[in-house]
Amino acid sequence: MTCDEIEQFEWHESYLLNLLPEIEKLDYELHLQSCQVCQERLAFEKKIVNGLRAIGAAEMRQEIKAQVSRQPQKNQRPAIYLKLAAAVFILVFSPTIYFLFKNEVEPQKQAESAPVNALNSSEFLASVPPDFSTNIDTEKNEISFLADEPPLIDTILNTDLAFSSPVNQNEVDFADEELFSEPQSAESIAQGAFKPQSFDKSAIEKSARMTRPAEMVAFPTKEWTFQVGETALRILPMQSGLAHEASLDSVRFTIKNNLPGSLTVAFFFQDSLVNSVRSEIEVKTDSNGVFELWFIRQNIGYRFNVEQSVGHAIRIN
Amino acid sequence: MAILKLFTDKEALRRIRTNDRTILGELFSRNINMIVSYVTQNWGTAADAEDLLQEAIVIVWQKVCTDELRLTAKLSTYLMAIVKNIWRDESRRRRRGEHSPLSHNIIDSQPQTLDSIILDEEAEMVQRGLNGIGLTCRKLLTLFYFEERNFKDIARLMEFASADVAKSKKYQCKNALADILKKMIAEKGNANDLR
Repeated sequence: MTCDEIEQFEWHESYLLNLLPEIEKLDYELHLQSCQVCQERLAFEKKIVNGLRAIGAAEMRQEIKAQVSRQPQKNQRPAIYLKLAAAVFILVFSPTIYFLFKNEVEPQKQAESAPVNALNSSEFLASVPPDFSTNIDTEKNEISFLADEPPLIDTILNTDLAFSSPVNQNEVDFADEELFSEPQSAESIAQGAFKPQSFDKSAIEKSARMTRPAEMVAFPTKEWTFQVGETALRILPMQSGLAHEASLDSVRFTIKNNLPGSLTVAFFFQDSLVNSVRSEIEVKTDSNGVFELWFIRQNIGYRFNVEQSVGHAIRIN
Repeated sequence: MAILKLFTDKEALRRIRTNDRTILGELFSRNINMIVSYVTQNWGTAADAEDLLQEAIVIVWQKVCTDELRLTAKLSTYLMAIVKNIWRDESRRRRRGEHSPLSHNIIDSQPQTLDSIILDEEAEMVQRGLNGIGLTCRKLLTLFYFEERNFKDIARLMEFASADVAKSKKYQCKNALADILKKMIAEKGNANDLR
């Protein structure tokens, strides 16, 4: 082995990059010990390799900084929407849980005797994010579904399935399966201005427009994504029971088709499983940032508008 | 639209493999809160956390490019593991009052070791040398030496006809850089001789 051969086959570089086979590496090292010229050439190669690596890393760090500084600073609105969405869904699921356990009680009949003062329950307010709880206008009765709803929220909050605290993300709380009868078909729901329309996951992903007018989704079928204001709402079937990764700027429902005819709905808020209830639901959206959540079995629908600063969750029927 | 910013780990790896550097900022933004939380709970600062995460992203990038990374957990978990390792070493160094590649960004008052001074000088010299060769050469050399991509990858990314072409171009570019550096070293030697 000569210095020229080593140079020709770029062994200095291969040695530095740890690309030499073991036998050749031993030969090279043996030669290196007694060759001053190759030692100097190796030192020079090392300068180039180290320099290029250091420059590459430094440039990448600079690029990260530049990209982060270009990203728009997140304002407070998304956080408000998330809190708002969380609060709205908590409000909606409370009566639902009640219905699931008290399904002998008819919703309409109970609506007449609903306590408006439920909103003033300290336990209820404690479960609502602070920003939202201060916006609840009980005088105007704007969150009308609460006024119309029968369930005593105090009672609901004291049940095991109520919104106790965020639990492990991987846990899904299943209600007693025997309580559930076969769901009504989606067609049995009064559609009103919302027309059923089928679309699949791939169509959503390819579309830049997440919200489509008058769309209706029946579960469990596909994965759905809605853009409501600045809040992304994703509804996805789960295969393993593990939650998909949550994101600070998205709100997701996780729908699990655990048994035929029944669904588990888990609401995730900032990585925490806030609550899970079993129901059969469907979601309808329109282009004005309004979406409706229907509980099929009870034939109850709620209409949300999260674009307003004060959340509205209005019971439709 | 917010939802468009979401990407899976698989998608992130795909984008790194295709040298889509626009993902760098996204990776940073996605994980910085978690890292800041960890570092500040372990006697570090937010600035430390930012440097650590940048370092971790660079390492992940290199590992993905060299096919050394096989994700068995979430990418964020992997980043956190790297950060923890670097931070452990860094904390040890700081306790001993030593300088480190990370801390030179953070603590200017700490004395640099001879090695790091030499490394900085070498990098500076190579940086000046790179300015003397074309952009294509610069990119090619970075892909090969920093990202440690193979020639097949480089040919694909730089739209060369084949891996052999990439190899040949790399040889030429490196020789061009070496010539410039040799001149610089010679000039530096002459300058030192004159003193």
